[in-house]
Amino acid sequence: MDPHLEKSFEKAYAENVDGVFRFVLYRVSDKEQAVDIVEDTFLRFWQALLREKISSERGLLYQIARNLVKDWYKKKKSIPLGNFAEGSREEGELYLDMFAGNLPKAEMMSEAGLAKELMESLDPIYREAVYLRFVEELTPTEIAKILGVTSNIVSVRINRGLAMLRDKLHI
Amino acid sequence: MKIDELKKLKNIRLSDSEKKEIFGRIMKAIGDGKAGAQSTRSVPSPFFRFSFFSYGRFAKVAVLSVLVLFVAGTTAFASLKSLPGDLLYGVKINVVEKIQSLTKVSSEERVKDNSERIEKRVNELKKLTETGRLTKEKTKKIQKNINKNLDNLDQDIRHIKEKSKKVQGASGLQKKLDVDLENRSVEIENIRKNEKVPDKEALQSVLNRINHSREGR
Repeated sequence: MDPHLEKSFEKAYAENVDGVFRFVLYRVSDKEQAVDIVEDTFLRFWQALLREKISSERGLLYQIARNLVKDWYKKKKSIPLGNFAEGSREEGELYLDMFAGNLPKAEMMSEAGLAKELMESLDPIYREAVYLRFVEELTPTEIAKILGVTSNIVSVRINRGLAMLRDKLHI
Repeated sequence: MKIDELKKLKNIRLSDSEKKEIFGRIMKAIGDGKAGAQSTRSVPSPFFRFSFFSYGRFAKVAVLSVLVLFVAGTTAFASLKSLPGDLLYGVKINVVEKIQSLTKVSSEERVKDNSERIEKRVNELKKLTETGRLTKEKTKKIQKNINKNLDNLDQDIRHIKEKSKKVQGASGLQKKLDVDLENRSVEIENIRKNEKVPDKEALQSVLNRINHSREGR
């Protein structure tokens, strides 16, 4: 194994494993399942590292995780319809909405309860962009790559999401 | 700002031990090749795979035979008359005689083969002495080869004794072998007496070794 590559991988893992885990957990609502998907995510990331030079490692990781979540929910048929949010009109597909499941209380610290409520109050189409921007602190460019849309669309979703939040919070 | 409340969602995270455990599993999967891990991993070619030592006797014979025939049938033939110090002597010992020995399947055949090879070595000693070409180095080389043949011979005799219930057969072979080795001893003794021989000690050592082999049985 190339030691330089291994070091890059280890660094990417250390910096992003929590964020990727959260991103997946808020979708699949099951910790074990989230861990499985996280492992697969990093394995595929390793494959990508071997193939090519990666400009945005963080962006790629979230992109892989998102695709794996999509694959997972395609196989799982018992998810209530209400948990699905229509994807962007550009995407034209359903995707599993964030915060749609019932996370066990132990996995959601009580002080984050408000945060969860805030996210749930958002229009689903804006939720992901707002989450990635303000929780995981990704750039609009990175988010655009993850969601498979343009940066402009990402910016629009973020702004509209914030507007909704301000409205809810009366600020 | 209440929007900063969103950042509290970041409080959900894996513990250090969980992260280590997951990382360990990932690295293991990579190491096991489950993630296309080793881009430089050599893949055995389906067209060429050869490891001499992993093949059985027959395959070794076949390969060596082809090698000898391909390299130079005439060269192999020419090597039969070569002596220590000659260019083709290595071919004679390590290729031609090696192939011949690989065709000997049973212990009895191998005993006979080793005995014949000892005879050839002693003949080489004679020729080198007669032509004044025997050196210490060549003597040592022949000594080494004879010792090796004797070791093989002793091993095969032991094997024959262990497995054979036909006492008559075993002792018949043993008698023939004793006679052969006795003849070799006489020949070496005569060579040793020659004034031109540079390394009498080496030849004495060979004689001792032959006697040891005879007495051991």
